[in-house]
Amino acid sequence: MDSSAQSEWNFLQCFGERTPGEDIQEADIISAVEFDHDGLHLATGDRGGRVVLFERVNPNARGPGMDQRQPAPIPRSAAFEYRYMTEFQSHEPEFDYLKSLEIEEKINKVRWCRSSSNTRMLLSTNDKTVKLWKVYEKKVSSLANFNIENRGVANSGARVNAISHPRLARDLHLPKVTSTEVLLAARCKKVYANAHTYHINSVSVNSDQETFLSADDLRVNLWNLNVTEQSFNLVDIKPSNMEDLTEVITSAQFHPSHCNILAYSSSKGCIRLADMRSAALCDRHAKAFEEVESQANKSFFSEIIASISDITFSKDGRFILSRDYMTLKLWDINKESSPVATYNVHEQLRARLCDLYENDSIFDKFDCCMNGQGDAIATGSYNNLFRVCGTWNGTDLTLEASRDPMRKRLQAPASKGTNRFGGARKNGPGKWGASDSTELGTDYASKLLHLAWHPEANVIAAAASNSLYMYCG
Amino acid sequence: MSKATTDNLRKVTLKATFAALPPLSDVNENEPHEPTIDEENPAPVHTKASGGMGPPLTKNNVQKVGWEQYWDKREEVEIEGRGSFNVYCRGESGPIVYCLHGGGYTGLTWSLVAQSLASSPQKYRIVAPDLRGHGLSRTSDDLDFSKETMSTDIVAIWMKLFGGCNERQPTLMVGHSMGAALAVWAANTGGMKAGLDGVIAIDVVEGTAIAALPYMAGVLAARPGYFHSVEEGINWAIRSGTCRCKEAAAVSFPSQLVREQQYNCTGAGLHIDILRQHQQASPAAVLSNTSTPPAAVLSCCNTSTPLAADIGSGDHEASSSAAAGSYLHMMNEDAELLTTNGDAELLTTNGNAELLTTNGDAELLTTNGDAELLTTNGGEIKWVWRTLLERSQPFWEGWYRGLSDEFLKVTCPKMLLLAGTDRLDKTLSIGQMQGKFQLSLMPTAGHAIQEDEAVKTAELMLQFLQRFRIGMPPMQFPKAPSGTKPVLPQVAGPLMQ
Repeated sequence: MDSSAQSEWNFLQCFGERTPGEDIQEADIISAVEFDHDGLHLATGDRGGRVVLFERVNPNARGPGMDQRQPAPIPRSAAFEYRYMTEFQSHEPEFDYLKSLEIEEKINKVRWCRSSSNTRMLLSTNDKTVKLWKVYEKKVSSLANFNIENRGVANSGARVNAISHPRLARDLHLPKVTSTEVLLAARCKKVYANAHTYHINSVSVNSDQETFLSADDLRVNLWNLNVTEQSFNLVDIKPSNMEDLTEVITSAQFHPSHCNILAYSSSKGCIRLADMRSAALCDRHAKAFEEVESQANKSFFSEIIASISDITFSKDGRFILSRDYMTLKLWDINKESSPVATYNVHEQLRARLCDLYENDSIFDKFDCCMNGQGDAIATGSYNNLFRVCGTWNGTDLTLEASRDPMRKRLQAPASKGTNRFGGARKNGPGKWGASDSTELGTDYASKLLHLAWHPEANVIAAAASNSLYMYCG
Repeated sequence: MSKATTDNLRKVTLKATFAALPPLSDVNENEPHEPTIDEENPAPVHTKASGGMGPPLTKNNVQKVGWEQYWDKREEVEIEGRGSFNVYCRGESGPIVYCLHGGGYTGLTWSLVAQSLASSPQKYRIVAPDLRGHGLSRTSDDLDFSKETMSTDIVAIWMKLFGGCNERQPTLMVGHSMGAALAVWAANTGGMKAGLDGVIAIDVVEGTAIAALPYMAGVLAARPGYFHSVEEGINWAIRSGTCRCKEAAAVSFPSQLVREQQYNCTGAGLHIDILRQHQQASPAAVLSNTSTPPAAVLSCCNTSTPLAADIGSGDHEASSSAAAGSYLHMMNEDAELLTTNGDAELLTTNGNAELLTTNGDAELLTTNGDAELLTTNGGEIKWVWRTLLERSQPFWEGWYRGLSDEFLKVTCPKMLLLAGTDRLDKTLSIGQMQGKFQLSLMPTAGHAIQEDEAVKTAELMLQFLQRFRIGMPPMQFPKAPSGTKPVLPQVAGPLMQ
């Protein structure tokens, strides 16, 4: 998949790609993707409640002549490789007997916690419960040369119960260690349950690494990682009469460096910044980022497509990136009235909003992500496409999450974005442009909802149904 | 079940906000609203929706609909000594469906029913008069609501319209509330014997009506005294539940209102009641009442009828006793005021003449030659109730006392159409059990069943018409050929001795 001259995005790897003709198991569909803080590990959650971990291969590889004491340089292209590490079943399907509702085991969000030792801690959540998992290496030794011979001896330190009276064939000797292997084990260290009436849509670990927030449709709660019985309510937008409900919380995140600031987005297209120092209950926002749409552009679906599906802070905390149905908006924290840049994701769908409403695709929640330097953003779309935009230089790419190079697409130009900072748009030949849906039609079932950007390198992990694609740019 | 729980609240909330928007068709097309003449709405009471994606239309902004949409023609039936009755007609041939409206209503209350009946394969003539003191009828005494007078009116109108024919005019008389009571009285006078073949009474029961009479005064007092525009009145009617059907309210309710305009002409009052005119512009008779303010009686009834008025050419002396406050009664905002010579002349005591016209082209001459033209902005526009039901109170008991017995005495087939079973009184209950009339219920409707559930009402009327073969030749029973012996049934089993 070659791209234009300005920036190249190369396909790196694919995990779990289904062979053509094979049916996708609903349980295998990936529902969360997250890199950890140094990019060495990648976690994905799926609808079956499993969390699959990947680790980077050879992260410390240094070329000859390089200073071994310096941290390894971020490699480009083929040197970036991930491999499967481990997996565990994080959540099980439950049944709420009080409301007669099933609680799905689908993993909504996975977040890594920073840890200094070799153990990895991560939070995973489904609709109702947040769990803290510790993934660690376990040395497992296998022993041989036991004194008591017994059929079917279990290895790795299992006790051997010898009922029979052994006959010592020879003198007592010490058992020997034959091999040691390192296994990865995952243990659930904490379960934070029963704090949410509505479905949890996001968790976010604070920069102080001690607390985290969990947000559902109407409330945001603050937890301490060590305490499971208690959580504090930060934001509550539940109206006293549920008939008056007009707005729900769609996403919440902590500021990457200020431990007192959190941002939450709503279904009305408003991002609110709350400061925990001002009050215990952060119902009154400190800042509200909302773009007032001009009357001329209003259509029937304006309200629905204004609903923000995901927000993310830039690494320096100066910008907030938000994704609503049709666009990506980049907000400067200091400017509340309007975003500094708006990028159209799939403008050709604007004419089809009626159909999208009919088949409920208009309610899809797409993720957005930003790279570590803050100069590129990415988000997913339909037909397994995802768009990568340069924030300042106006580059605009549409890539398809597929390893099959034979898939031909119409070379239609990618849709326009109203980027104030760049006019040039690169669309070289041979690019997989966004299809005009004239030839193939938009496949609303193959949507690329979840993707994550490596914190340091230009590596994107994009999840298309049950497959994970890695791209390097 | 599992999928439904996920993301439910967000989707539900978004869909709810979407559903709150006005429907696509309303806002996309430019909604045509009736062209209102300047004089009626100088300052529009309701904000009309700007075309396109403006602020959403308030759903209740119902516009008035003209009678022409539902009726073929409108006749003025002059009856000697009684007055001139306005009658709406639809249909050219077939049995007559003679519809009598209730107290405070007009003949337009039957508009939707007439429309439904017209769409049936059988043809009927639907006739709906405005009764005395209602609508556009003008009688010698608009306040004589006694049952004798009004039932005689009803018979007289029918006789005038259909009595002259040689052949029998099968008629179904349908009455609503007060109209039903009057229909029963009219039926029993025998005046319509030449054609009356059925009576349908809608939502009137003697016991219930008499029991409700003490509360009626309060109900009437609770109505607004006036409205600033016809639309405001229609919307009030819908909001308050008086009319449950918006379409019916749009055509029927405006005819219940009449315009009243007050002029402040420096103490001198002018009472102009404009006489209704026929198509030809004949000069209107001017009634001047010396004791009350001079009245040139003009009633405008039809948009296309120019009115000629020769007003008070010689009465300006009498107008000196005019009292303060003047009223212009105009039935219809589209009336033009012309005089025989093309100028409207209006004289007042102090010489200031103010005349309201649609297009502002009237000239007003006064004794001293000063002409002032008053536009709608000058006075306060009020739309008041056409029928002063409060004044009919003395007659209420007379309408309903003894009604159940009279209803059961009617010789032709009868039907009672009610909104709820609990509204039957004892006499009618017994009568219904004895099979003396057909009872139909319409629980979804309010009091004005013919408006709230017009289509179902029409269906019931059609069924009635067909069941009792009104207007149809009698059924032919096959006769056995002569000489056939009657065959008696064989007895099975032992005979009793």
